[in-house]
Amino acid sequence: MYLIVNTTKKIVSLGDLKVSLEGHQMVDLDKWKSLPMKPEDSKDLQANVRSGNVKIMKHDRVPLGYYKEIPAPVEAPPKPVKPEPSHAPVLNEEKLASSLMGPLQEFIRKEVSKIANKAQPAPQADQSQILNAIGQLQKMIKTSAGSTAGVVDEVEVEVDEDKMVEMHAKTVSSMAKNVVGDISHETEKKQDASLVANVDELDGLL
Amino acid sequence: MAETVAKSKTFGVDVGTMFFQTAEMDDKNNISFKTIRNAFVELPKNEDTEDVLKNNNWKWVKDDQKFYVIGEDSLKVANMFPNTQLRRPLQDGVLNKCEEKKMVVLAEIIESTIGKAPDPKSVVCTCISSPSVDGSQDSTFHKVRLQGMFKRLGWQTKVIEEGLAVVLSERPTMVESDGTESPYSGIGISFGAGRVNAVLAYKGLQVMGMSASRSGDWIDKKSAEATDTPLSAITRVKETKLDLAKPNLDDEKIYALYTYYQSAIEYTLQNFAKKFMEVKSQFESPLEIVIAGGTSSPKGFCPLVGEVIKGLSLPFQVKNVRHATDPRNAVVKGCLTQALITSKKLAKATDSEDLKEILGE
Repeated sequence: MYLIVNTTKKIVSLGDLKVSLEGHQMVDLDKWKSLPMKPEDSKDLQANVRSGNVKIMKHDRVPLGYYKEIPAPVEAPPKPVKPEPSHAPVLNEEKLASSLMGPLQEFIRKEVSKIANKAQPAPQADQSQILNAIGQLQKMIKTSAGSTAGVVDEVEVEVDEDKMVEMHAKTVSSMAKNVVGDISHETEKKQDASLVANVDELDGLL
Repeated sequence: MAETVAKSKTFGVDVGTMFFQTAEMDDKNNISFKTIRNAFVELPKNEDTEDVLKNNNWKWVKDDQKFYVIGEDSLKVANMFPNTQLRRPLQDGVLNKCEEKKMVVLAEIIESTIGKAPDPKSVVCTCISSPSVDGSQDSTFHKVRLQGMFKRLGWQTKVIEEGLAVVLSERPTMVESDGTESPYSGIGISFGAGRVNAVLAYKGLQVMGMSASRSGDWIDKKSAEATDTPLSAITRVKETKLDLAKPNLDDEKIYALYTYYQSAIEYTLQNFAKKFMEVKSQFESPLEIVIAGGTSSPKGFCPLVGEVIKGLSLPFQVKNVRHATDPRNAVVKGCLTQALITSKKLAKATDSEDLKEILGE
């Protein structure tokens, strides 16, 4: 399982995975057909997680915290919502377990009634298989009842634009601290009397 | 000792996929345009590198690790050394997410061109692409990164969409139903290297905008693929032989270029028409289309646009199609126009709330 969610309202594209997420869409990438690479190898996914556009909800591979996420300012407590319908088939273990239980119970009922009616019961090997299967299903139901994979807290991550500008200004200043250059340009000078007139006209209009 | 009062400066800046351009007006109403090719190549840092750069008079940027030859010189170096990759800080109209040195190179280009702001009311107006119709593109992230680059130098930054810059530069007009003329009303289209941008404006205010990826680079790439020809050969034909009004269709390269130019124009107009439908009710009068951008340079481009329009069923009437007076500089000139307007408003602003409103509108 590799469950991710688009935390923004806009489409987020993970080009190297050939996956596009609609606003607030959640998908299990392991269920996505014909991914060109593993989700954990995707540079686009890593970049989007770092920027906060995408959040990894649950996965069963590398430890969480591998990708450094920029913490988002949470204004209000998150509201639990139903998961968004996704294009990829998302396995609902609870549903699978309960859909299997019914036919299995029916089979057991028939076997028991055969025994009661002195009919030929299923061979010993089959019976132990059935008991094993019931045990496995019970474990699955217990696990999926405890898991939160199906419930996604909707988190609005909308960082103030001014703060983002400030953040980038500081980042660039830090990156460009020891940068020097010898640069020249192609220069042209043109007279344009209309520019001043246009500015005055637009100033009046706007 | 007399204090020197710093005079405010105002710049228009176009950070394009192919070229970085600035425009500044002097006291005599001359516009000074500065252009540098927005590309670079990496050179290893060793004891000989500085001598090589000096002897060849190549322009460069240096960080802790490496030297980067920039501008036109980067093309020369890339052509000379076969394993040297030409790199671009921008791709498809936005900061190139695959290029780790984009910020370092761009930051130095910006600082060396416009310098630090002399006072807190100095203004830069730059442009970004309109929302994309074909493939997502994080314009918000690109916008705040650009703003960050100017802010760190102390500039007040105003950001507009590229198509609007064409409108502000070229002043298209619309004749209303009562016969009055509305200036800065019409469609501005910039055919750049990475993207086409189109904006519908009314009296200088943007009504809607869109951008698409089928522009110069797409045309060149598709033509090269179709004819199994190197990109450089296609570019040479485009710059020397191509006449879109009278194409020599016996030449397979010209035929390919003509076909892909037609396709790019049709694609742009059809997608623009789709977006136009959302605001149709305001625009019954015929609209003027003004075209700019380096990709529109070949002879016969505007007549070809006219021909394509005749074959389409657009949801608006077209008054006429004309080329910008200076297609290569129209966008940056439009940015300068907006910067000068913003500068005037800032001069009258009384508090920080005014400032925010003026820069954010």
